[in-house]
Amino acid sequence: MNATMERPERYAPEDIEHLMLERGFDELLAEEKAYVLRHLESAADYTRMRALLLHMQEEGSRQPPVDADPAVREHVLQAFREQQRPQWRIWLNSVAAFMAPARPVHYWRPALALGVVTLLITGSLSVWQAIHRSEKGMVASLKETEVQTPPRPAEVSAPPTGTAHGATEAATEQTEMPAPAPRQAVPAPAPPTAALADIAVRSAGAAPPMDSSWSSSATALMEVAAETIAADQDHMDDAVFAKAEKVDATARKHAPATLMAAPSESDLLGLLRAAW
Amino acid sequence: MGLFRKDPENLSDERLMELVVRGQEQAFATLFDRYRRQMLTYFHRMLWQDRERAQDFLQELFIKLAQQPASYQQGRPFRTWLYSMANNMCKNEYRRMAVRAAAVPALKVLNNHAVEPDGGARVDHEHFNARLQDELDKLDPDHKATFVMRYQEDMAIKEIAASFGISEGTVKSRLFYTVRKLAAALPEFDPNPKQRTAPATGQ
Repeated sequence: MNATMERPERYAPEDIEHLMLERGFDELLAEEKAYVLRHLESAADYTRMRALLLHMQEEGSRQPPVDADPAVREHVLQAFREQQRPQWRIWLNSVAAFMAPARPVHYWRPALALGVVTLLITGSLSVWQAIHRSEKGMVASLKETEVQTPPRPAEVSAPPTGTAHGATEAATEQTEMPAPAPRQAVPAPAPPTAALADIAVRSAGAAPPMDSSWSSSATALMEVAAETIAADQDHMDDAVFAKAEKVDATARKHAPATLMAAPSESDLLGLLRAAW
Repeated sequence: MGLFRKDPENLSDERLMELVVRGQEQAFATLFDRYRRQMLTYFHRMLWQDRERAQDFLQELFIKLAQQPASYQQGRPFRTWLYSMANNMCKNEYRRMAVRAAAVPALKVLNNHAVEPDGGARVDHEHFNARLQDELDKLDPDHKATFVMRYQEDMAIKEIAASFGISEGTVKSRLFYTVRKLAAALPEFDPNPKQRTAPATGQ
C-alpha cells in the first residue's frame, strides 16, 4: 500500500485491477479513491468491476477440468506420422501402379507411340554418331598437297614421289649428290662430314632392302665424298667433278624412286606430329 | 526414451518443438499432452462452450502443427505462439458463423440463458457463466480473447501481449475497458445493489 501511495501519478487505468482484487472501495486510502474516481464514474462502478473480477477468480478455481477424447490424440499423432512418412514410398506406389495397370489394354497405344519415338531417336543418334566417327575418329590423315619447290639449277632432282611432304622432300634432298654446277658460277659446296655420314647411314641401314647396284653406287658416292673432303675446296680439280658426275648418273640410273623417297623413322614421327 | 538424452517431460516447450521439426514423434506427443487441456478449455470458452467444436478445433490445431512444424518461429515462446494460432482459428470461426447467420437467420447462434437465480449456489454459478458468455460474445473478438486469456486462462500480461503481437499497455487498457463494460452489462451480480446509484464520495 505504501508503495502505491509513494508514486500515485504512475498509476494507469489498468492498474486499478490490482486495487480491485485486493480491497473494496471503502478500504482504499483517500489518494487511491481520488485516483480511482478520476478514471471511473462512481464508487458503484468500482464495486461492480470488483465483483466481476472476484467472480472470475472464483469461477476459475471452480471450473471442472476438461480433457479431450483419446481419439483426438490418436488422430493427431497419426497425422504427424503421415507427415513424416518418406515421400519416395508414395512415388514408388505410383510407379508400381503404372507398371501393373488394372487394365493393360488401355496402355498399348501410348506404349506403341513411346516405342516408335524411342526407336527413331535411337536410330538417328546412331547414324549421327557413325558419320561423325568416320570423320573425326582417326588420329591423323595424309593429304596430298602440291608443294612448289623453287627450281635450282644444280639440283639433281629425284622423280616426284607422290608424298610431297616437306619432311619427305628433305629426306630426298639428303640423298642428292653435289650439284654439277659450273665451277665459276657456283662456289664449291662444302659438304659437311656429318651430313655425308648421315646419307651413308640412311642409304645403308635405315632404308629398306636395296639392290646391289644401288649399294655399290652409294659406296662410290661415299668415296667421292671422302675425296672431296680431303681435297682442298678451293682447288677441286676437274677430274673429281667429272668422276662425281659419272657416279651420280650411275646412281640415278639404278636408284628406285620409292627408295629415294623412303622416309626414316624420325621423319615419320615428325609427319605424325605435324598431322596431329 | 532411447531417442532422448533426457526425459522429454523435462524439456522446455521450445526444445520439444525443435525436436518436432526434426520429426520426433515423442516430442510431439509430449507437447500435445502438455497443452491439450489448456487449449481445449480455451476453445471451449471461446467457441460458445461447445465441447464437440472445441475438440474439433483442438485436433485441427495440432494437425496444423504436425503438418507445418517449420512454421514455428525459433526463439519465440511456444505457448504464446500456440495461443496466437488458436486465437486466429477462433476469429476465423466467428467470421464463418457471422456469414452463416447472416445468410440463414434461423441458424443464428443465440444463447438465450433466461435462468433466474434461485438463490442456490450451483444455479447462481451457472447463471453467471451463461450471462457472462452472452456478454462476451457481444464483444470484439480481440477483446474477448484478451479477457479469456487473462481471467480464465490465467495468462500473464506479457504472454498475452506476445500472443497478439501488441504492447503490454495495450493489453492492460483493453482489459480495463472490457471489465468495465462487462460489469455494466451484468448489474444483477452487483453484490451491493444499493450502491449502484449512490454517488461516490471521496473520503
